[in-house]
Amino acid sequence: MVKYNMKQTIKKQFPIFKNQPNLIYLDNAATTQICAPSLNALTDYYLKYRANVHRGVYNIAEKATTAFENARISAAKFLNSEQNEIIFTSGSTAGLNFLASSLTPRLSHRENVVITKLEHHSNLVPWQQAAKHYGFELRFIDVTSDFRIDLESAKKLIDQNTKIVSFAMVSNVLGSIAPAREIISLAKNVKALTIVDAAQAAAHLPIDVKKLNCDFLVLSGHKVYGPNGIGILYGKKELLSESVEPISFGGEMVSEVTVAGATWATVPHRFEAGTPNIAGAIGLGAALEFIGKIGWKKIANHEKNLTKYALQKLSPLVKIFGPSLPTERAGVIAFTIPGIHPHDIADIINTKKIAARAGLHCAEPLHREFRLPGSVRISLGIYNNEKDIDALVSALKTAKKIFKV
Amino acid sequence: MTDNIYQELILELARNPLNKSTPASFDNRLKAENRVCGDNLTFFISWSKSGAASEVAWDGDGCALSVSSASLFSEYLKGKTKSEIKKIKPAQILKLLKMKKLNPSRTRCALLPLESVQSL
Repeated sequence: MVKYNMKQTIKKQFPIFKNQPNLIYLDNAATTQICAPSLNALTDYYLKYRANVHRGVYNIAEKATTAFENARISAAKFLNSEQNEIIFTSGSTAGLNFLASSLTPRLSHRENVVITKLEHHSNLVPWQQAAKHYGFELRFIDVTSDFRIDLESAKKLIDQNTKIVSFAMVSNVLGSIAPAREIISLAKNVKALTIVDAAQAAAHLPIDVKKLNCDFLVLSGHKVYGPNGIGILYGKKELLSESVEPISFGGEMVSEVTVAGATWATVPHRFEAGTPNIAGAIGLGAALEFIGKIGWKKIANHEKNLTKYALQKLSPLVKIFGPSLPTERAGVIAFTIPGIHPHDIADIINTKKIAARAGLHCAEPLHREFRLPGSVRISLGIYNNEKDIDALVSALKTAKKIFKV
Repeated sequence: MTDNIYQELILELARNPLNKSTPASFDNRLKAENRVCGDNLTFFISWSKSGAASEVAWDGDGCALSVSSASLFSEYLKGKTKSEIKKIKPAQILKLLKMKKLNPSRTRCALLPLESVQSL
């Protein structure tokens, strides 16, 4: 078994840095770089055994089906779920849209869905749209002035009429880690369904759906060092079998079809209509195995130390939006420099090959809440190190010099 | 090669923008937004009897490039008629900024003021 050293060998597992040796990639919240095992698994499928799954009896079709279902096993292991609780989607957005479309049609105007004010648009707009169609109320848990989810607000908003509670495990702007178990237990008390958006958490914190006791959870492959266009929707077996109806129909998801109608295949296949993203799933499985091989202890330690270092180095230079303690946050750091627009900061640091994002980060209501026109965001991954932060600090000093602030 | 954006002209206008205010009275209010970075600009134009822009002001939040572009553009619009304004091409904005080429994301910033008067 390969032992990965976070300071030296880990970066070699990411082919992009061979082609972009000077790249300082600090936009991992937007997308992570793909790891070599994932890329290899993906190309292996295309080069050596491309075939559709669950259809052919010939050798490579069997091989493709086995690899695809093995990826499901890897995903189940990653989340500590059962294999048939894993549905492959195109990403977190698709998972959340599916849930918002599938779970809300029976809600009445007396009932409500609760989300938070820091949600990514993907966990906001699908609910807004469903609320417009079906008339239920959409409620928003407050964010405290020190950038945490306000549990007191959650206690007030989650009531007997709450049917669904959906929230991000880690904020894609503030980096705040949600008090997931507390929110889920508030929801369980009123028998509401719980959805965890783990898009920003999955590469950085261990997730155990049994311990969390959430009903559904979504994540994206491209944010866990895997390929684009693939994601996971986890759902509790009994809910997937009994309470959730498929909303996409076609091949693969059916059991028996006559001219009069059709019956559904077993879970999870009834939720995977059409030919799935086979290569993507296989690549995602390999990425999740890769994370597993490194081990959470190493990843968490590395990212916590680096986040702490970044907060220390950045604090004197910039105004940070997000919890100040590294223990309460993931390695997502949003900031502004008074007197320099975020877009200008991102542009200047880009001249030093530093990739960071400027803008609203798909969380416009959150920026409104804190009256920010926009912010710069850096987000760390397993291949980042202290040198990257030092380069950022030096580039930010240059920006301040140019703008004389 | 694209131009270095942060020349003295841009930095000076970013610090001290021209015609940046929300006037009490105006004939046209024209908005443009860049949702990607959160920039928003509003142009305010008053017209003389002969149909030329007599007062031009703008207000909003933006990066150094969109703010300096709005400053120079507001000066440039003064004295022009509606039909003249509608004919302004993107190249003119780059000329005002003394630039030849920008990358696509920054072109959007520079052209935001021009975008706002499209609805005229």
